[in-house]
Amino acid sequence: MSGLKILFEESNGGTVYFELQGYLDAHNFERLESFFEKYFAEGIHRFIADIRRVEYVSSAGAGVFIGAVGTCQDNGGNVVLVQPSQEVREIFELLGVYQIFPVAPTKERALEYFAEEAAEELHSPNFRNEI
Amino acid sequence: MQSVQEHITVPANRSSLAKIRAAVRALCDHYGITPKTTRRIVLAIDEAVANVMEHSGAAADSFIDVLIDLNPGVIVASIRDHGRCFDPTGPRRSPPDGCRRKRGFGLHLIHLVTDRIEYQRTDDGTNVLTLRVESR
Repeated sequence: MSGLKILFEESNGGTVYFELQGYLDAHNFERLESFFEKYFAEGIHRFIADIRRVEYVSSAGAGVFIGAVGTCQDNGGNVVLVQPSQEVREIFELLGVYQIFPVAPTKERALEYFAEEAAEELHSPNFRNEI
Repeated sequence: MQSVQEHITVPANRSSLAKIRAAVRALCDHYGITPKTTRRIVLAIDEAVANVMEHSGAAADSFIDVLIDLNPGVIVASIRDHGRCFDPTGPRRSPPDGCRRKRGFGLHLIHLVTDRIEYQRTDDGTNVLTLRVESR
């Protein structure tokens, strides 16, 4: 299946960084869907999506992100968008979901976001350190 | 700018979507359509054609015709297929409900980015969906 390249790396602490290149449409969206589902099955729900080189996204592609961020947020994680391309931002804004996603200017800032989230949870009165 | 017509015929399978988008973009770029208008018409056609491929029951080896009329101030695209009757001009689905649903936003997007949508089922069983996008 052509048109979409997914370059990824797993960082310590259970965060997956991936870069999308190309387009995400009704023909290839299932590749990204499978990518997310593989990690969900492993209990990983923190993703950094570098999408500056996504040249087109359709409703099918947007739907993968919408579904993924919902699953992640339900499990204490998130999908941080790094430098969404204009096309991606327009579609997400049209659908009224752009504000659901944290957005970061760089991968490093996105990693800091997850570290800050983890620190907040650690110091939250609701956190119980079970031994 | 004078009126220009372009006719694209592709197999009714999803691997054709990129080809259609590229052809529409090239046409718009060639005739100086603004990037914003180009994105709207590309999206509208892509979503409409994807809907046909997914919902019309048309065989994967059948064909979809896309006829594009570039006129000063407005682009009109007609999409023809021979699948099941499906009128997308009726009440459309609501937009995404937070993150509870992840499919079915195509019609919603088509309505958002076009200025008019018309549907006709001809006597010979052809579906004709006409999308109108005014230049901005």
